[in-house]
Amino acid sequence: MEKGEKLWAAVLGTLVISAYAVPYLFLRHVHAWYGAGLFWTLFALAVILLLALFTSSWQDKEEE
Amino acid sequence: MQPWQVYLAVGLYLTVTTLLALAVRRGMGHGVEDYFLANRRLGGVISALSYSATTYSAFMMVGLAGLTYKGGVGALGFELIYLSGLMLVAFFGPRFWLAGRKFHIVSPTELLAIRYDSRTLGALAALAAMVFLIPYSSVQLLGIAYLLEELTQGAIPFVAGLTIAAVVSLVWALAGGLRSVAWTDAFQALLMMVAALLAVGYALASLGGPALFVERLARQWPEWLSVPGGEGYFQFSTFLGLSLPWFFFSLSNPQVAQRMFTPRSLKSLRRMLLGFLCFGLVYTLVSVTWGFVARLEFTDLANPDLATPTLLKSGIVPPFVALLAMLGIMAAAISTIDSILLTLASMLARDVYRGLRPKAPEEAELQVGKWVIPVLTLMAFLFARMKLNLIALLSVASSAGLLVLVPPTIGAFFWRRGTAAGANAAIIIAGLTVVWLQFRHPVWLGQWPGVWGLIISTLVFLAVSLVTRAPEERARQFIDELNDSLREHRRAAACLR
Repeated sequence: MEKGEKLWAAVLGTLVISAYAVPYLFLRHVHAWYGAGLFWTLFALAVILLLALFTSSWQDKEEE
Repeated sequence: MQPWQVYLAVGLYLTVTTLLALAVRRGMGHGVEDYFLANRRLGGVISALSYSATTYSAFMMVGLAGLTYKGGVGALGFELIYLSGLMLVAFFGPRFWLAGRKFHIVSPTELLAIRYDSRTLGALAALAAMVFLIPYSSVQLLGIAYLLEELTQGAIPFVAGLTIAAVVSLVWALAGGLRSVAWTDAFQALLMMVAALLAVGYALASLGGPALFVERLARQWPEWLSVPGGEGYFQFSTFLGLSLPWFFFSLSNPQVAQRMFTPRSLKSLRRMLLGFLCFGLVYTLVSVTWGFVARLEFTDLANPDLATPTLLKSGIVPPFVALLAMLGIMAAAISTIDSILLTLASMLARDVYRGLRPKAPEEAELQVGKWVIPVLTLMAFLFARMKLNLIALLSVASSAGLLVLVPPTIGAFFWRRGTAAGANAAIIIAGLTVVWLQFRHPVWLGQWPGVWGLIISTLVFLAVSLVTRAPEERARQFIDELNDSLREHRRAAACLR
């Protein structure tokens, strides 16, 4: 794995751990839409944005 | 819902999709790569829609909605953690794509066979995938048959529904290989999304709008908005047991892993990934909302899987929306089955048949692949017809069972010391353990079979690999040379920008 990839893997991995830890450790008693549901939705959006950035170098000389 | 309306709608949907499957055959070549991989020329948008339709089965609007009904918002977390597992494609996608072109690899199991220099490994991995994926397909067929029977009050009997689903899966897979499957998938993905959005939109409107819906939910079912949720269903071990196998789905399930070979460029691969992620987020939110609607409408369903059929029959959405939602669920199931059939056929032709007869001509391999598709369909149909408990069990075990392929797949690109003996031992030992646990101890020491499958597979793969001889040249080709190619692509991309 390249150096840059390792950094991305660490950031994304931390995010995944937070998807387990935050709702189970900190949001157990928030019985509202802005609790675990909102957290997981924001988590998914963050993953999509980070992956869009991470893969921005996937270009080809080949024509689409 | 009148039976004639269902017949008309199903007939129209099947006719349009079959015509599409036949139309895209034009211009198709004759080789194995052309048939099973659409000649590695799929565009990004079609790839994204097809990946979505292949991944998302009837589980979403039926099973996930049911899980939400039963346990609440934990269902959203589990499914979005699955979605985040697509980050693996960001690391493995370009490597699969480059290796596929370099070695003319057709299936993910062939990738293992070439990387670890062992035909036995390819055949073993292909057979292991078959053991889990045929029952999984049978359960999808069962789902369609039950849904049609339930919604038409028996006017479309169980066997008729089963036959319709099996025949169209077969026809679409056979018509033009991946070309037909990808285009029909794309159409069906749009159908799935439109149907689900309309159903949820109408349901929310009839409940007084989103604000009132959320307010009622918080007032009547507050526990369902946090974990562990309703009746404590989503205890952490359950949540981990459900989400962990799914996190690795993009690598463990060959019908989606194979899609990393098919885009025509890295740019198309990126569009596939990001397009799928956006589709998946919306479809997940919609399916979970649908489950919450059921929670508000019905307080005491005996079986959570009945949440969707009961909602569709309840009159909360107009009949045409209920009909469309039913088609959407049917499309979700069939688009998953035909992709699985095609991928399994490619694996049996390439990894088993060609593994046994390496000098067989390409035409013979293709013929075997085409003959295998009806056989696999028949097997899935017969298993579904028999309604055996074993089939349901193997289907449940499929996501956990296929996890045993993950450590050798990761090792293929990131660990030089990995060996065929290590991969073979991992697949056999961990695979049998998962099936045994699923039968005897679905929860052992507080953990689900998938968690044990992954741990055992990793340990066995590492231990056996360390005491056997690694294929050094292949390791160099798959690790060093692919890294060099990736660097070149990045440099070229920087120049393009």
